[in-house]
Amino acid sequence: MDGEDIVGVVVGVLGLCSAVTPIFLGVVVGTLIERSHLKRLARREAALQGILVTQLRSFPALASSHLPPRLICAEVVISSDYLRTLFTNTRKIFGGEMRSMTRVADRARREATLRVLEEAQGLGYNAVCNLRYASADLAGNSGKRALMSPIFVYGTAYIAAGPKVSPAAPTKSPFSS
Amino acid sequence: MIVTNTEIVPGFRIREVRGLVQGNTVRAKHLGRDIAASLKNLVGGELHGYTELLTESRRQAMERMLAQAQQLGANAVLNVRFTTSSITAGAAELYAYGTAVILEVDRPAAPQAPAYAEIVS
Repeated sequence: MDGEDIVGVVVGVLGLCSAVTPIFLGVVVGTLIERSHLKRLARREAALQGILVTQLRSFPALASSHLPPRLICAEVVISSDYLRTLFTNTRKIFGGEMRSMTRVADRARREATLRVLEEAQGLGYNAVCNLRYASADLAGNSGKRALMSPIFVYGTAYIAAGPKVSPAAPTKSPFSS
Repeated sequence: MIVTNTEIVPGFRIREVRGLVQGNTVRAKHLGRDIAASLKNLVGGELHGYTELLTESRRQAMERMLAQAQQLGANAVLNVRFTTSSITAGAAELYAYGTAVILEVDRPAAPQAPAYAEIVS
C-alpha cells in the first residue's frame, strides 16, 4: 500500500464517519430527548390536579367569581430526529402508520395542552372549556429536512365550582415508547 | 375587553353585534434561527425558534383583531378562532377572527350581576 491508498482509505473512513455520525447522534440523543420529555410530560400532568378541562362550549360547572372568562392560547413545535426522518421516507414507499410521527404529534399536543392548562392555573382559573386544536404547516414544500409538528391549542378559562374531575390519569399512551 | 372562544359569556347578553373582526400576520424567522432549527432537526425535540415564531404571530394577529374591535366600539370579542396556512418554508400566516359585540348584564337570568360586570360598563 502506498501513500495514495492510505489517503484514500483515511478519506473514505472520514467520509463514512461524517455520514454516519449525524445519524448516530440523531438516534441516541433524539431518543434521550424524547424519553426525558415524556417523563416531564407525565410529571406535569400528574401535578395538574383539580382543573376541569372540557371541549364543551357551555361552561360546565360555572361558578360566580371576580375573574372574567378569558381566552388562553399556547403553541409548540416539535420535530423528530434525522434517522426517523429518513425512515419515514422509506415508509412512504410501503404505506402504513408512521409510528414515530404519531409519537411526535402526540408529544406536541400534550405539551401545548399542558402549557394552556398551566397558564390558566397560573392566572387563577380552575377550568378550561372549548379547548380547540389547530396545526400549522410551517414546512411548506421544503421536503425531507422538515418533519415537524406545530400544534396550536386555545381555550376559554373560567372559574368552576364543585369537586373537579382531574384530567385522565397519565396512563401509558399507546404512542409513547 | 372580554375575549373568549365561546359564543356566550355567562351572565351577559348581547345587546348589539358589531360584526366580524379579524387580524392576520405573516412572519418569517431570520436565517440564523432557520439554520439552528435544521441543526436541531438532527436530534429532534422542541424547536424554540419556530415556537417563538408562532407565539409572536399569534400576539400580533390578536392585537390587530382587538384593535379592529375597539374601533367598532365593541366591548367583547366572542367565538375567536385561529387558522394557519403556510406561505413558504419557514413562514406561516396566522389568521384570527371573531365576532365583536356589545355585551350588557343579563338581568333576568342572573339577578345578581357577575362580579366582573364592570369590565363591560
